[in-house]
Amino acid sequence: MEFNHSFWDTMAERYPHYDDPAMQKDVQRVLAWAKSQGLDFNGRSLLDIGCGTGTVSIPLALEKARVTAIDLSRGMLDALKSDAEALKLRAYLTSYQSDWESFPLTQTFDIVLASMTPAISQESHIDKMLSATHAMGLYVGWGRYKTNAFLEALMQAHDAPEKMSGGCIKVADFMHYLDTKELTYSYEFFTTAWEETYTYDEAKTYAAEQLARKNLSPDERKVDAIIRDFMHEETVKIETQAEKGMVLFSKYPSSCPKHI
Amino acid sequence: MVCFICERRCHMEEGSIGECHRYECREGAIHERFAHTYLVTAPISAETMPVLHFHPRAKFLQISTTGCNFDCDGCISTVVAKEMDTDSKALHVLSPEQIVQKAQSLNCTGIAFLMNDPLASFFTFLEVCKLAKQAGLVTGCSSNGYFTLKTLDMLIPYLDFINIGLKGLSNAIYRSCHANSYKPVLRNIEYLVQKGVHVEVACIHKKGNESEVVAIAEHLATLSKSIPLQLMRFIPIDDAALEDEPSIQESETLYQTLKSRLDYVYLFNSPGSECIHTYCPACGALVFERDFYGPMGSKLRRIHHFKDGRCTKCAHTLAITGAPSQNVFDEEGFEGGYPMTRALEIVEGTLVALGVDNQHDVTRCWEELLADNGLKKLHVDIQNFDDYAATILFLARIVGKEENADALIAYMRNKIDTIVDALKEVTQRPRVYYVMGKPLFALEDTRLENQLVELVGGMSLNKTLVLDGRPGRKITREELLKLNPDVIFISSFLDSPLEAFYDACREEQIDVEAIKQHRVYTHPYPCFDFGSPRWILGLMYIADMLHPEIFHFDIHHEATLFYKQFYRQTFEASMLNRSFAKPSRAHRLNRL
Repeated sequence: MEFNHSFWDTMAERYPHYDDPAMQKDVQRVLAWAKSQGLDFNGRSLLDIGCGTGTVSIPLALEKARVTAIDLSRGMLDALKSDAEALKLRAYLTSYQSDWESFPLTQTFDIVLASMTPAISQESHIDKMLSATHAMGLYVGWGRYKTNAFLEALMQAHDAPEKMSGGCIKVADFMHYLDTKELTYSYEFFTTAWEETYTYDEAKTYAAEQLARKNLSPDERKVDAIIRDFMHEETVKIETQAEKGMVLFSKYPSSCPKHI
Repeated sequence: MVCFICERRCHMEEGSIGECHRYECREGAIHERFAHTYLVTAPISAETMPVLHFHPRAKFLQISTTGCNFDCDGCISTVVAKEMDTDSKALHVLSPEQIVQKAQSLNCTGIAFLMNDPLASFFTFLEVCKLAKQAGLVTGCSSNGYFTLKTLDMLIPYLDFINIGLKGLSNAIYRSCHANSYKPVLRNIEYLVQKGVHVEVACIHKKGNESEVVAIAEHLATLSKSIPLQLMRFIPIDDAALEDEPSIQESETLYQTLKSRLDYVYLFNSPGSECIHTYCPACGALVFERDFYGPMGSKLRRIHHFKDGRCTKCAHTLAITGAPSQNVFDEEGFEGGYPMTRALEIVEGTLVALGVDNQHDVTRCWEELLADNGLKKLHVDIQNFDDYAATILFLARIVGKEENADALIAYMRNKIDTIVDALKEVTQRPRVYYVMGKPLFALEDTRLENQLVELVGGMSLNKTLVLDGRPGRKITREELLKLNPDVIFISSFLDSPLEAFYDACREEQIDVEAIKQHRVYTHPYPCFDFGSPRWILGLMYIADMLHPEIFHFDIHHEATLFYKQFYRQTFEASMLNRSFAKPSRAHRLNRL
C-alpha cells in the first residue's frame, strides 16, 4: 500500500464533500456520461472502491443505487456517514473501512467503481476490480496531464522524483490493461480545474503532507519562500488543472450497459 | 540405546524417554509408557477412516490413543496428537481382549488404529492386532509410515490394510515434522505392497506443492497403478496460513493430472466434488458414489457398476478388497474420525473467548465432555443459541470464568435482540439456500448456519430438505432448481471463491433466482458462521446481505471490537485461518 490511513485521516479533515461545487461538477459530468452510455444506477448494487468522503457514493445513493463504499481511512468514512445520515441515505449506503487488497470479496456487484483513488495502483488491483463485478465497471483516473504550480515548485525545490498521478493508475494504462484482457469499454477525457485556498499555516501543513507522501522532509526555508510566492492578501491560492478520463467497461464481451 | 520403533531412531539413555515422549528405555529395553490407554474406541465406517478400496462401507472399531512420533505444523489431529494430557481422565485403559470384545459386540468387520499414529502406541497396537486376527477380525491403521523395518516386520503378519500419509518427497518436509527423511516412507510403502498388505496413500494438496504431488503419483505408479491415492485438500488450522489452502477447483485440476498417472485418485475435503467417486479405470463408469463426510472423511452413498469385484459395464477387475457391506453405518455427530478433533477445537475456541489462556483448563473441559459422552450433546447444543449459551456457562463453571461467560452471552443476546427487533416490520423473507463448497452440497438442515438465516429473517430452504449428512449432503440439480432460492450463502468452513461458484453453476446450468440476481454470498472471514462464538459476527453479516436496507454492520469494525473485548487482542484479518479454536494463527495457550 502506498499511503497509510493516517495521511488520509488528516486529508479527510478538509477533503471536499459530495456538495463541494468543483467536485460536484466533475462527478456529475462522469455520471451523466455513464448514463449516456446506457448505465442505469437505480436499484443496482454498486461497490465504490476508495470512496473517500463519498463524493461519488452519495450522489449514487441519491439515485437509489445500493452502494457499498470502502475506504482505508476512518476519517473519510466518518465524513461519508455523517452526510449519509443527514440525507437519510442509510438504507442505500453501507461502508467498510478497508484497503482494497485485503477487502474480502464476499459478493459480486452490478457495478464496480473506482474514482481518483490510489486504491487502484497496480494490475492486481484491476484484476480484483474485475472479479468484483458480474457486469460493469467504471474507472475514473488522471488523463494526460495534471498541473499544480505550487506543488511543482515545492517538489522541484526538494528534488522529488517526478510522478504525475496521485498513485492511481492512469486512464490510458487502465485501458491498455483492459485490452490485454480483451474486454470491451468506452471512454472519454475531460479537463478540470479547481482552486484551494489556505492560510499560511494551512499551506505549510499541506506542503508537509505532500512531501511526506514522497518520503521527503520539508525544508522550512524553501517552503516559506514558495508559500509567500503564492500568497495574495493573506491567503494562499493553489490551483490545479488536469485532464481526467473515465472508462466504462463490460465484464463480459457480450454484455452491454443496457442489459445488466 | 537406539529406539527401534520409528525411523527417528532416538538415542535413549537408561531411564530416559524418546523425543516423542511415548517410549522409555528401561533395563536395556524399549517400553511403551502409556500402554492400552485409549482416547477413542468407537465404531467408524471404512470411508470415514478413510480407506476406500478395502471392505467398502464396512464398520470398524476405531481405536485412538494420544501422542505422535512426529510434530508437524498445522496438524489436523493437534488436539489429540499434541495437546491432550497423557493422564487425562478422558482416557480409558482397556485390555486387548476388551478391545476385541467391543469390536465383536458392535458387529465390526475389523479394528483400525486412527487419528493419532500407531507408532505412538506400537506395542499396544501390535497386541490388539494379534488378538484380532485370532478372533477373525481384520486390522489396519492410518500412519505416517515411519516404521523401521523391524517394527514393520513385527506388524505385517497381523496387518491387513494401511493408509500412509505421505508428506512429500523432500527431507525438508520431514525435518519440519522433526523426522529426518522421506525415504523410509517410500521404502515402507513398497515393502508393504510387496508383502500383500492393502495400501492406500494420502497426501496433502497445499497451494504450490502440485508438482510434488504429481511426483508422488508417478512414484506410486512405478509400484502399482492401482494404489489408491487420497488427495487431501489442505484445511489451514492450528498455525497454518490461509493462503496455503487451494480452492476446490484448483484441487480438481490437480486431480485430473493425477488421474493420468494412477487408476484411482480421490479428492477429499471438497464438498460437492465428484472427484471423491470411484470410476472404472477401463471404461470410466461410475462405480462408487460418495459424499464429503467431514474433514478427511467420505461416505459411500450409492453403488453403481459393481459386482463381484468387477465393473458391470466392461467387466474390468477393480482393485477393491472385500465385498461392500450390506449394512450402512452412519456415525453420529462428532463420532468417528476427525470431526472429533474439530469438536474439541470448538470447546477450546469457546474457552479462549472466555479468557482461558492455558492448556490445562482447556484439557479439563475436554475431559469433562469426553468422559461423559458430552460430545454428542455438544453437537446438538451448538446448533441453537439458547443451548449454546448453556454450553458456554457449563464450560465457564468448570474453569471459573462465569463473569466472562455472562458478558459473552449478554453481548451475543444483545446483538440478536437488536436484529430481531429491527426485523419486526419485515414481511418479505428471502428464501435462502446454505451450501458448503460446490453448489449442490447442501448444509444439513439442523446446522447452526440455517438457524442464523432464520434468526435474521430469512427462510432456510435447507430446513425443507431431509439431508442426514455430515455436515450435509449432495442434492441433485433438479432438487436445487425446485428449491429456486433467492439467496445462496456459501459456508466459511472452507475456501469456495465466488467466481468459481458462479462458473460451476453455469456449467451445471443451475439458473436459480439467486444466480440470476447475483445474490450469492461468501463470508468476509473464515469460520465466521460456525465453530466458535465468532458466529455472532457471521450473523451480523448475513443480516447485512439479506436486508441491506435495514442492516449496516461493518463486520471488520464489529470484529475489531469483539476481538478486543473477548480475545483481548487486535483483530488482524490476515492472521485468521480455518481453526475453530484459535482466534489467530499466532494464538498460543500457555502450558503450565
